[in-house]
Amino acid sequence: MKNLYDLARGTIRIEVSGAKPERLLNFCAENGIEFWDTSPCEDFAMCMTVHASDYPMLCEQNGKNGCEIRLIASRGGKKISGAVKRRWIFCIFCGLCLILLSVSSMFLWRIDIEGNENISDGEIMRALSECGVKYGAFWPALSSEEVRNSILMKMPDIAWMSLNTRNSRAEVVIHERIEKPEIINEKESCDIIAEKSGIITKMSVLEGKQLAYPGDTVVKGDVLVSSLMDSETGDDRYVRAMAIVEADTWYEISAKAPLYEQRKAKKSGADSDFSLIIGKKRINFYSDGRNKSISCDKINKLGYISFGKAFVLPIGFASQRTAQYETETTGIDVNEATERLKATLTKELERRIDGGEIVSQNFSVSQDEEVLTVTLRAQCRENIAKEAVYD
Amino acid sequence: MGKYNDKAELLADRLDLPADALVGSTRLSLCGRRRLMIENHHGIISYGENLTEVSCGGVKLAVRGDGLRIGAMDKKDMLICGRIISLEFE
Repeated sequence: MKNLYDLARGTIRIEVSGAKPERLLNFCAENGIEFWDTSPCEDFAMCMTVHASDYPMLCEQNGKNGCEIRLIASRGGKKISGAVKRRWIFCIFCGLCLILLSVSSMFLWRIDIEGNENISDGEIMRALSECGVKYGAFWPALSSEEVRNSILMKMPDIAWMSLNTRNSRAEVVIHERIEKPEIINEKESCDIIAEKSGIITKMSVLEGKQLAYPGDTVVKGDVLVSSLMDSETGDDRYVRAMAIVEADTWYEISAKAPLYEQRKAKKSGADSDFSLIIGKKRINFYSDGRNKSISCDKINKLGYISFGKAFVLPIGFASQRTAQYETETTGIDVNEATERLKATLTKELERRIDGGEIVSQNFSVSQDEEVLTVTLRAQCRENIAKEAVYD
Repeated sequence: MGKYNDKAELLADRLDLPADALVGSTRLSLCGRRRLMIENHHGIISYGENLTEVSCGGVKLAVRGDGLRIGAMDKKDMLICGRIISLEFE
């Protein structure tokens, strides 16, 4: 701030030489002339900086007391005012820009949404828009608390949200509601059935009547533990069967990949289309935005004029680059494709056994003229118990 | 002037009064070893990066150091910045 003030007043850097240049310092102190950046330059000489307005008074001392004063540099002050006078149109333009910028910073031109995974940005934007948080909204009139309460009422999937406005940028932080776990009704009777076919290796029955035993072979849907219990009084008694049934299961999963694929060969041409975005309006500098070719890459870029992250102007620039290419059919790398399919199959197996253990596995690879097939055969050990409501 | 100051300081000593309040003698405030504030000075005698001499009425204060410079100065007060090695009264 001090520097700006000095620049506006104008500063002069002078060199004082003579037998006693310190006398000028004393003169300045006596007469209230502010000086700074004093430094001895050479023998019997020193440099100092004073305000431009004090320079004429110092010039009067030139030659007196054996001191010679020489101007080294000057900046700010009249130099700036002279430049402003010469370029008044430019200065008015800058001033207008500053005014526009400050007025523009009172309106929202950018809304960033963070923290949402299941709820789309569009849904949130629509709800925000209904609450008044939209492009071009006058943000000082918005109450963060009111918007939050309103959004929480409108969208029950949101547990908590916050709205932070910084100049023309609004930052919306969303915390989604975590779904309630399914509540098990322990009074409801149900059987335990086999979820998959296999040979039972271990069984822990916590509740219910055991109908299968380790070593038994079961198929999918067999009742392993019944909810109907024997009763000494003769009446049927139903319970909620609970058990952990560990069984050996076998899987055979195949995955296929074509031996030939279409690849981009060479670029046959490229076009760039530009648009100017002002607020919600888009001015296209092209006539036809459709794809000119079937095979093409489209790269869209959108940027807004901004000063840092806070000041965002409603003026943006969009470019769309369309690169057309030709395709050619080429053979794939069989080894690489095999490894990729093996990894995919292993991942799929792990998904299916859901925490179970892979006892053994082997892969077989076959290929015909067009397709590469990889088959995974695996023996696994997993819990096959599944609750089924008793009919 | 110098003798008057000496006597005034002596009197202030005897009366157990602060000397600067009585005669306006020079007061030095040293902040660490990089800033020296001199109040009630009587002007600079010589100015250099290694030696700056300041008139303090009857005596001369020699400030020795490295990279000495005058941070601010007015009619009564002066701030000397830089690495101060010694202060000597001559």
